[in-house]
Amino acid sequence: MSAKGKEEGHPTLLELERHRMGQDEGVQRHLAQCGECRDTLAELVAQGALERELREAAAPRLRAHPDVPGYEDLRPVAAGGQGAVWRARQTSTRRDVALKVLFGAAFASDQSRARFKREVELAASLRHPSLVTVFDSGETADGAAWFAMEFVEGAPFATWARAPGRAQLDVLRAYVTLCRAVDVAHWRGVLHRDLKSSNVLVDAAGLPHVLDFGLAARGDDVASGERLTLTGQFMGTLAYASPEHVAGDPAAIGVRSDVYSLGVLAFEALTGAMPLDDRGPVHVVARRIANAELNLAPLQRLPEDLGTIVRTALALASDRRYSTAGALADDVERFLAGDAIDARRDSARYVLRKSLARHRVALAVACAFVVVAVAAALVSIAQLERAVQSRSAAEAEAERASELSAFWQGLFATIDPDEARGRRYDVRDVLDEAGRRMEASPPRTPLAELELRAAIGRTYSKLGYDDLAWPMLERAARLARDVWGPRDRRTKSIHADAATSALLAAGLVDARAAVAALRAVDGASGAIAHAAAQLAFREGDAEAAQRALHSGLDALQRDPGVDLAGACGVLAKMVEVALARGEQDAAERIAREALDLAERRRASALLTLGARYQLGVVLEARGRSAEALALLEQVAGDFGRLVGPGEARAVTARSIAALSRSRSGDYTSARAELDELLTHVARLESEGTAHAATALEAIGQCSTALGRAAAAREAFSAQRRTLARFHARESLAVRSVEVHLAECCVALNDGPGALRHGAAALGRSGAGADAFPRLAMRAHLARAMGHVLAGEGEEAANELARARAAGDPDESGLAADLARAAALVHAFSGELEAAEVTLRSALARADEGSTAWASLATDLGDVLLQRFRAAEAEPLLRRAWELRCAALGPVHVDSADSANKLGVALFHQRKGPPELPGLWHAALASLEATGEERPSLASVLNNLGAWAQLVDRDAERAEEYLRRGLAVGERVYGPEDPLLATSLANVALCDQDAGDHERAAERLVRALAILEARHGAEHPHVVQVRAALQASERALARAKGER
Amino acid sequence: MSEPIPSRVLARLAAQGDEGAWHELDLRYRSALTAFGERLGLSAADAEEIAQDALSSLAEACGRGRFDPARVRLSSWLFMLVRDRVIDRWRKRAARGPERGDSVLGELQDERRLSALWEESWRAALLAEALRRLREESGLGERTLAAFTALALEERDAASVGAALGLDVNAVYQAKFRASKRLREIVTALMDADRIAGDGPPEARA
Repeated sequence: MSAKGKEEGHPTLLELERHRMGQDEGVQRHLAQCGECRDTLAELVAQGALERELREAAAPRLRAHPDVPGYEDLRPVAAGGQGAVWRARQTSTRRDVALKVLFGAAFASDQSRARFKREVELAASLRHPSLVTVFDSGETADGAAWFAMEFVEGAPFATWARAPGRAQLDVLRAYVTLCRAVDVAHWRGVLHRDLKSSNVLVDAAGLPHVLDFGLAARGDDVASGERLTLTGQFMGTLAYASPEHVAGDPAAIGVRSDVYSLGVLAFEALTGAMPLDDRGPVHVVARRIANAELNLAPLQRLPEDLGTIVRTALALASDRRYSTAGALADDVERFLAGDAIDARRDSARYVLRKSLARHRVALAVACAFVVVAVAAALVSIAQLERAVQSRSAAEAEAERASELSAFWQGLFATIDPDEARGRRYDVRDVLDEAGRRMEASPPRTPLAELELRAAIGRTYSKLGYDDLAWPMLERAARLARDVWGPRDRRTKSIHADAATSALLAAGLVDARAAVAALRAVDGASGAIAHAAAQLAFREGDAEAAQRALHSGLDALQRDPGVDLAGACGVLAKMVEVALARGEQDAAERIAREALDLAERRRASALLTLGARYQLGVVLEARGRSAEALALLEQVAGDFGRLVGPGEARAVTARSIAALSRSRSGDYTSARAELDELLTHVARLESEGTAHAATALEAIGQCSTALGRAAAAREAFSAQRRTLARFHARESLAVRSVEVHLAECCVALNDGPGALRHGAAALGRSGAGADAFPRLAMRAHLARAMGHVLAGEGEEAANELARARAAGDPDESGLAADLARAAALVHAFSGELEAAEVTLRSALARADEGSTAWASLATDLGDVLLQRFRAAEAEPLLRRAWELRCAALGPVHVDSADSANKLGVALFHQRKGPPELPGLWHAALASLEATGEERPSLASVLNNLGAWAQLVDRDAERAEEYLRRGLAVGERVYGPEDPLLATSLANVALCDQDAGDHERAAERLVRALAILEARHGAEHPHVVQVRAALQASERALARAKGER
Repeated sequence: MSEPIPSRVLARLAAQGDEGAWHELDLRYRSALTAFGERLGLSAADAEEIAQDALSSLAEACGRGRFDPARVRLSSWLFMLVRDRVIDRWRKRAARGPERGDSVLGELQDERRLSALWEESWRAALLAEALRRLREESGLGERTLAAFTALALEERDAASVGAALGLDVNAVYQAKFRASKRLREIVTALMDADRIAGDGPPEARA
């Protein structure tokens, strides 16, 4: 043992103890050399762990301050049987968090440690504004497990609900939110198992937050003291525990156990009483619960329907409760809306359900959550009625049931954790697997197949995968027509679901068939209108689409039980059509209308978010970036919490938010976000859904806005391939992505690509009038640029004329683009004066201070430079650079482009420091940071080379820059580009200096050919290059003669 | 420090039903057995009865040579014994009348949870015994033990502890260090004693 005194040069025990607590770094050096003190320190660490354990064993509530790395400023909040909660600050992010530290020696084995880790991961995967997010976890030095979650300031649900003056309406609204949040977690396969008032905190805004999701069950094996104390008393939770929970049968605990706890919460919040007297020893209370000795009398004070709802949630038999937390929320909403509640139908349904139970449909297998999801769609009253009608019907039912049973058993066998070989399945995987099995070996009886298809399809639809739902439901509908007849209400119901999915899937190849099928169904007029509109829109007839959408919306609004998802879908489509037609006012009006509808009718979170997202997109399209950004950031966050940040819809919202952010000048963080988003491209493509395609488009648009043309092309190509699976080539969606691709090709100097994609974007309407003039104009413009890049001046001019003819440039907001393209075509043909006139006139009409003005000014500056009028160019380029820096941030590629050209203007005027060569170096850094090669990168490298050669007289560095410039130029410039010629000539001069006249001559020959073709034989550049070539040829001849 | 190895105690029990050995066994395991029974919902009286019963069975098994510490870990053996008795007790109650015992029976069938509960009760008893030995049998001075209690268990401030004990802060830490080190030795020895049969912890068998 050490513990030496200072006099011997060793640190004291106190110092070592402080070091252990991270408070004294001074002894570190000594420790590095002194084995004895290291041993002492190790002993101190071991002692610390043991002492902690002793303290906890002796007095469970006397907690030492835990030492959790990465968190500081811990303040105790609460202590429970399982652990203590601290408010703390996360050092890295400075945000306040709640730290739950489980008591020491929590894990009996590595196995339970691993299980805890898995469950934290699962809980962390939950994303919903009302589910408190777990984002970090670990173990302290002395082995106590901990996890970190959002810190929520709020009151326990019942306390909040019983506050004086609290309106019942507010309580019920918060309660609906709570149930929806719990429902979301259930859909993700996570049960809470310890829902109670103190686990639901309501914040100042009245939003409930559920704590400890998925972790509460840890009470079972993390610290068994949670559920039973030494004296055999339950730790307060028993009052909320369902009978099956108390019975301790793990297999019986499921979604409906949480529904029971939600029922207790409602009881407590609404009446102020508890349904169960939980005083006394555990077995006595347990018996009370098992025998349903509940005191429900206080419910009589509530409106009758509300009392029925709470009573239904608290039913002793779990199958008499609501099947899901969502169903409970639905019924509360029905009560709030004054509609008939579902719980009233309970008794009949119960009897019937009981009768089906005799068939033992093997649903109660491992995957309880999927079962709940699918079974909810599967079991209908009508089927049950049939089951008890007659003996023969019962036999048919039995056959069908056994087929269903075999199907589900086979399915669950593949996803059995023991068989899944470590792979984790979520609901989507299970549905995909079910779909595959269905195709491989469909059930023999049509009824079984029909029910399975309907169940799978409806579950897909519920999860938002309508493009996958639609074909399933469509097949189910066809089978239903055969099995039940076309007029049967079940058939109609499946048809209506299929129609809704077809609409939400936005643009299926078979939309025409959907319309035809729907026409055969009575009472689906609204759905027919949707689908007809969809079809018209898809075929490019925007006006017909708008007409159909309006009539569809009318039909929906006339319908008293308006289909909210359908109506929102129609409105969303209308916004899309309006935007595509350039009718921005209308787009914004409809987007606001859709959002209002969703909020007024309290649509599901996803629908409301979708509506908010679309309004954000409209605002962004209208150039109101700040407004759009605020909305989109919020939507992206909410989507992320709801469906996970990598899910297609979340990626879409994040991409557009990043785009908005970059347009608001926050280029750096937008770029970081884009880098993350780009990692999702391959996965989204393999997902192959309509949502994924939209996400890919959004990533592409964000990449374009951030000057990442190559990344954008990759994303758009992935989108193009994804769309090809379910869209017609002429559909608006495909044409839009082709335009994007054409524009990417222009940015990447890929002339042939621009021409090809531009043509595809124009489709059949290539020559004539187009329903989407803006789209057609962009396609023609991209093709014009493609021709320029391919060195085809005349074709470029023709394409430009077509662009002008396609629509009104001012209305479509493309006037500046058109002018820039026209100027470029002029310049290409050597008509620099015409280019200047075009640009000056466009500049005069543009809004000074806008980014469009900056682009025009940059182009005009460029033309002036070519006309050797650098002094005139300089103020224009400087203003453009300043504007772009202010609007896009200084590191944006467009800012770098302006900086590069401003540098040239200065250089031509023999102006150097202080601005040069700093401007070019900064531009180079910005361009290199994108990781992409583009013409301006080659240009700035050549400029720096020239500076090194002519000003610094540093031939070596000059050569380095120039050779890099040429290497990039060879890839980004077209083979006919005069800039490539300049670059070739510059490097050839380096070759000459190095005595390599052969290489020099080779390069100069290429440069001369390009320049002569473009400028004619007498252009000063041509003369210069020819002279250089002659010098090399002479040198070569001399060398030959000498040999 | 007294002899911590129960195999020897068991051997003594086996040999002649030694009264002292019985006492030692009692001291070591009774509290773990009682705590476990209470955690499973038994009343204090029932839990004590079952603990008594289990210890008697152990003594008897040792006497007849039915318990071989070389083959079975003592704690595992006691666990199985007490678990069976608790289940039995609940079954009888369930059979007796309206009291619904199957709820707890369900819990009792969850082997994994039971063994974790047992492990915890066992550990708590072991720590209590270690503390007792530190205080009563280690021979450490009063001030050393007081410094240990104040610093390690009550987490009091070293300066005030020093002032109360008439020690400087460094001496307080030295005293606590010595006592803690001794305690660790006792704990290790007790654990080794429990582990001699080497069949590992009673992991889940479910």
